[in-house]
Amino acid sequence: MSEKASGTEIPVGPQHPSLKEPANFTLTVDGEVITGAQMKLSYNHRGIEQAVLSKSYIEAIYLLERICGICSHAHTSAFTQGVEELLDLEVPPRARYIRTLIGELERIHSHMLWLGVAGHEIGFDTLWQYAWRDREIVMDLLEEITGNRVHYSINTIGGVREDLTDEHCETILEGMDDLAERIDFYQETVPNEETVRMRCEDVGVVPEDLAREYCAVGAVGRASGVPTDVRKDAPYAAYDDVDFDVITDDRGDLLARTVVRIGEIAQAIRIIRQVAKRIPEGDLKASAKPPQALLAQVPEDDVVSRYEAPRGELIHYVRADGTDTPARVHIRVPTLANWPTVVESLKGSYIADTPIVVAGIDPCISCTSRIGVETDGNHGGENAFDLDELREYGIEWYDDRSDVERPSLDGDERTVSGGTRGDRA
Amino acid sequence: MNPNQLKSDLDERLEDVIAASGEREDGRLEFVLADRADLPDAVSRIRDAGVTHLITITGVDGGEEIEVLYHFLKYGEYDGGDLSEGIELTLRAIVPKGDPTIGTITDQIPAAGLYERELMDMLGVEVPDHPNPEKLLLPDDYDGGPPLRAENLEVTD
Repeated sequence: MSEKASGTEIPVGPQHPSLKEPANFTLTVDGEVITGAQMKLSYNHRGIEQAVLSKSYIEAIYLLERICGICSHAHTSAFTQGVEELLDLEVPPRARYIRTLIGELERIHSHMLWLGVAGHEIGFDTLWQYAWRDREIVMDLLEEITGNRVHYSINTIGGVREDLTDEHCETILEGMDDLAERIDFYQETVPNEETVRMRCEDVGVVPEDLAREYCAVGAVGRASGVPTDVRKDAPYAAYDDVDFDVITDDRGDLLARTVVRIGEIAQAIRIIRQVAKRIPEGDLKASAKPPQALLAQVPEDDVVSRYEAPRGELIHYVRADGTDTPARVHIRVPTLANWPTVVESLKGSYIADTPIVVAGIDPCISCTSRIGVETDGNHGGENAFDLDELREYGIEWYDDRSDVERPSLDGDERTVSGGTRGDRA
Repeated sequence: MNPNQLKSDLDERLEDVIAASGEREDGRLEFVLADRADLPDAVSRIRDAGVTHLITITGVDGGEEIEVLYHFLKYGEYDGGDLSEGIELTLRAIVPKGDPTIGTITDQIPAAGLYERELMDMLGVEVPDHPNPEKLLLPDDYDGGPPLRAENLEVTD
């Protein structure tokens, strides 16, 4: 049966059952079993790699931070660490500890978000609500320390912009106590819970040799027995001063990815406690010079900066040409590195498992297809919009929609036609 | 194995195909290919030396020519929760703008498939033997020329 593939193709996406972002999978199926899968990502190109070339290194931090709303600190850290290397700046220990702290709080928030999404994808909405409620602990801490829940804007070239007070450290330690209790509960219950086991055990398996062949990164690689972790294999920030374990699993299925991520939250709590207790006194920035003076010193050189983002290894390649704007910034996000494992592990899975297999790598399309802020509308072909055109298109689309007669369940007076909805004149 | 040992090992293995090699202050190794036609051969020798993780492929418009950088990582040793430092390595190939093509390494490293498609999209460096040379990041009807070529970077607003 499997030799003679039926050749029925099911398009999944770009508006997608498991993601809130556009990606398309064309599944070839034989009955309920997926025999082949192809993926398409090109729906939401934002041209950030192009736009960043017209910004100074300082402005670029804030643009690159907006590549992703979940791992925003990862992008700014990778970039600033690269520029610091170009400038040969020694970041003071206190700043390195603060970067580590924010990075680990971000890892917890990202993994908890994923745990909730995974629960939702397998129809276990209680887990989703539990995980997202507990995630608020770190979201509140991030807001208290940096002033923001999403784009923390704490990194700058040579250090950090906000200091940590003793009260902050107290609150962080208290928050970690509460969270640790919850994580103990998840470590105990999630891998043993019948619903989770039924939907995740032996589903979406990525064997070790496949993970190595496709150069999988982060929790996906580690759950398939490939121990890679930039925090250990090229320590940055304060990671060589703190103790933590690299969590691995050799089963390679979705359950293993879940167990590894929960284990990593426990390790992140361990790191955050060490940071909050041991953070050294000192300066926040490497140099008291104004940023413009620093930027005037950027030499002609290039640098590869790697960072362990919540989803895995992130790299920023920065080429400097001696001016205050970069000559090239290339970003490889962890989702791109892990996509091929999704395509491979979909083969042999059931159609119904597609959402959780796709969600299993914690994909981020916003990161992956980051690369056409269309600056003048000349380069993009007929479907490229600048901001004004996009706004006008949206308004027209909704206006036209209001002219369409649609059936109503609630009687005539609620029909949209002729009503006020969409009427913006 | 430290970066220095790996460098002398690779210097020997790649002796007849590289034009230059060096070790950066941060420990990253750099090798420059003399001829881009030797790319698949050089990558296979790098893999023989135990460097199997391809991080990404970066294209840079350098004016006269396009530089294509292959970033590799040699994994650190793992021992019960602890992981030692890995070694980063960059292989640099020079592609002339008049004939922007480069050989594929997807047959050796399947992970390169997506990165080579990104290179074709963004820099317009063609990879003739690629198994699936469709657009990856840009829309299918995009006709504006590779966005990261210098001639397409002029901003007119």
